[in-house]
Amino acid sequence: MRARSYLAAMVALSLILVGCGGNGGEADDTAAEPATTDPATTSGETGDDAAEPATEETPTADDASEGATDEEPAEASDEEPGGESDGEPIRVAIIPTLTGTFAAVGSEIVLAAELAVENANAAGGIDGREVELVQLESDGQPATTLSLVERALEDENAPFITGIISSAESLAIQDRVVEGDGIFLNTTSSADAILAACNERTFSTIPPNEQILNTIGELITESEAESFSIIVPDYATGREQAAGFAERAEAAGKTVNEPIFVPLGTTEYGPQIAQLQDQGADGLFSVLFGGDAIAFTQQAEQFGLLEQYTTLSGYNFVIELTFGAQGEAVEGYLGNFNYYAPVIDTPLNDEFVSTFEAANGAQPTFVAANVYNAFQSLFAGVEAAGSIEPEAVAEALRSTTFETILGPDQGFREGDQLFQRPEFGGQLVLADGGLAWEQLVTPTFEDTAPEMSCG
Amino acid sequence: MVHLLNGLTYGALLMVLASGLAMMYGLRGVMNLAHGTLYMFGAYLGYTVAGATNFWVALVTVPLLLAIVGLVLERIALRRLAGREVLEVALITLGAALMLEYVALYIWGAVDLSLSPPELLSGSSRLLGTTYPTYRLFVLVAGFAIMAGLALWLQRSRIGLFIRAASLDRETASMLGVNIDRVSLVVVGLATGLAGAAGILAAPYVAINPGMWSEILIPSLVVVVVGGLGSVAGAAIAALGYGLVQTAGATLVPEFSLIAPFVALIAVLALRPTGLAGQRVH
Repeated sequence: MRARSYLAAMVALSLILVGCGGNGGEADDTAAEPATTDPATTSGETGDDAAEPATEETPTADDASEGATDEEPAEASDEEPGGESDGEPIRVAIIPTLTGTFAAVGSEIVLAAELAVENANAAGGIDGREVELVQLESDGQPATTLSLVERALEDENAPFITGIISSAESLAIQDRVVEGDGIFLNTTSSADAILAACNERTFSTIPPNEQILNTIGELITESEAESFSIIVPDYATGREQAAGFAERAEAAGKTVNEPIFVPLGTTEYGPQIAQLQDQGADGLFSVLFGGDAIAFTQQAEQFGLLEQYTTLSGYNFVIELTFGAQGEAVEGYLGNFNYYAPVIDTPLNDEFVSTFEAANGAQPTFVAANVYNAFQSLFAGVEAAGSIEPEAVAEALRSTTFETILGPDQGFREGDQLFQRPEFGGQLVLADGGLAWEQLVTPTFEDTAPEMSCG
Repeated sequence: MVHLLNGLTYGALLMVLASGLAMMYGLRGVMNLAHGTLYMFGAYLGYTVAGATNFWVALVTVPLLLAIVGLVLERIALRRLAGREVLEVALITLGAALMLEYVALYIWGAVDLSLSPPELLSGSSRLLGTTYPTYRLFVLVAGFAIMAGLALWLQRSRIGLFIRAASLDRETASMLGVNIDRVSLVVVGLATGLAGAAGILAAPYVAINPGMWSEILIPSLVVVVVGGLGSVAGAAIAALGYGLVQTAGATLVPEFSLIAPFVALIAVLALRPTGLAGQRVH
């Protein structure tokens, strides 16, 4: 019967679409992923003109390794570009997702990577080498990203991998990067498990969940609210964040209600809003992200829910990328930020902000800053190593300090390779007709970073 | 009461969107998986037009703009796809949807957008002893009004008769003198216009982003399949059922809310393989 075959086909398609929609069942804090149906894989390309290969001959990873075996890790080099280096290009692969909920984050990654490469090449290259960008596009599925990492390592001769968005993807590719003799610069995934893996080739420029929650804990201690409701996306990291917040809020003497879990990509928040109204708390902690956060804010405002709270707080519930869409409804929000251009007062940040604004017409967000910071770190590692051999660069990154947009004497903690930087806490205020962060707390790295678990 | 209204409001939105999808399948036999992208463009165009004028102008012009898109779509694509295997067509339209997502990305960028409801519909209203957002009540009323108008038009007008006849049995209707291509032009224009209406109605309710089509596509497909492929009335009933099942699930058993509509899908297909509307000849 034909009608039955149509039905069977549609059911099959529905299931396929559902399967495509998730994010490997696990997203990260920065890019909580609702159901999307994205292209399985589209291959990207090298970056802009400034990132053209220095030579027509494409070197192999083996060539690069052989050429660098005798070179010693060193202090950050003052050597002029074109000096003693073999001139082989530094090939960096970025593998973001450019559609679905990841689109805005992915787009920032690309802009920052292109700018970092352009600025480096405009300044004469790094250690006498041209920097080349290999852009590949993932659909956010860990399996897809893993295959693209393999392609970057084996076919594109790009041992330096960055711009991967979700924690699920990052966790999936860490070991493969080691096997392929590469380096993974983690800019966007903040699951604690990434650090706990103690992977010697993973360098994280983004603070982990625990550090972020510790900062939020400091904000909450001083907050007006006495009881909190919690709304989080229903996936493993979301649940961890809910538990982490509850622990800190209770330690600060607050009452915490049972968390409300919402499927990623929810369109209708009416039932959850009714539950939050019933809980009657005077504080809200939300871990909803991106489009979910915007839809929830709009609907909560229409229901008058937000008026119920003296303290509106969250974990990346409001970020610069959603300032415009969430607007005045979230004025007074207490939350964390990795980076906010106006609060970082360093020469390299001024240069970064001005060149980013000139190129893109907008201020860089924390996503762009973390990516740019990763590129600066990599460049410092190459200069210190005097080589593009990944082991030498990794060793240099672990053992040297360097200057980045966050200031002088920056570097990674040896062991879990976490960038030693603070996470900021602040409140959103209205300024010049839009939202802006007002910094309230700047806990030090030592006070808030998780203890190192790697031997 | 609030839970009932939540279910009906979401159902009304789905009803407007899925009725067009069902009509298009009923007449052309085309399962248009790009229907969600028309809804996405409805939201984006609504954002742009409302920004330049106001929400009410957008509410009128966006469905008209999308209807024109539908007329073009019918002439250059859907007419040629009619008669092909349903899975083949579904995959072609899915590919088109993915490409259209990039078009939206190119035009409006990757950052999520939002549209505020008009001043007249902001705030809350009292209804049967409950305070409920005025904009949601508007979506509810607008959704039912659109469906009532559509039902009347299909039942009372001459072209409505042709559409019903062609949806039931294209070949016989054609032999009796119904110009299927002409009727189809009207149906596709109407269906895409309805997708545009759903998009602008949803814009002050959801985040506007290039991926929003995929979030609404699966509920729409479930509704069309449960309703009975090609049946507008079946889709309308299924849409309301979907809204109620999902909101009830989210309230009573949150862990169950995500799969509740799929359980309903399986249950309906097991008990009634041709959907709520029953047997069709195709």
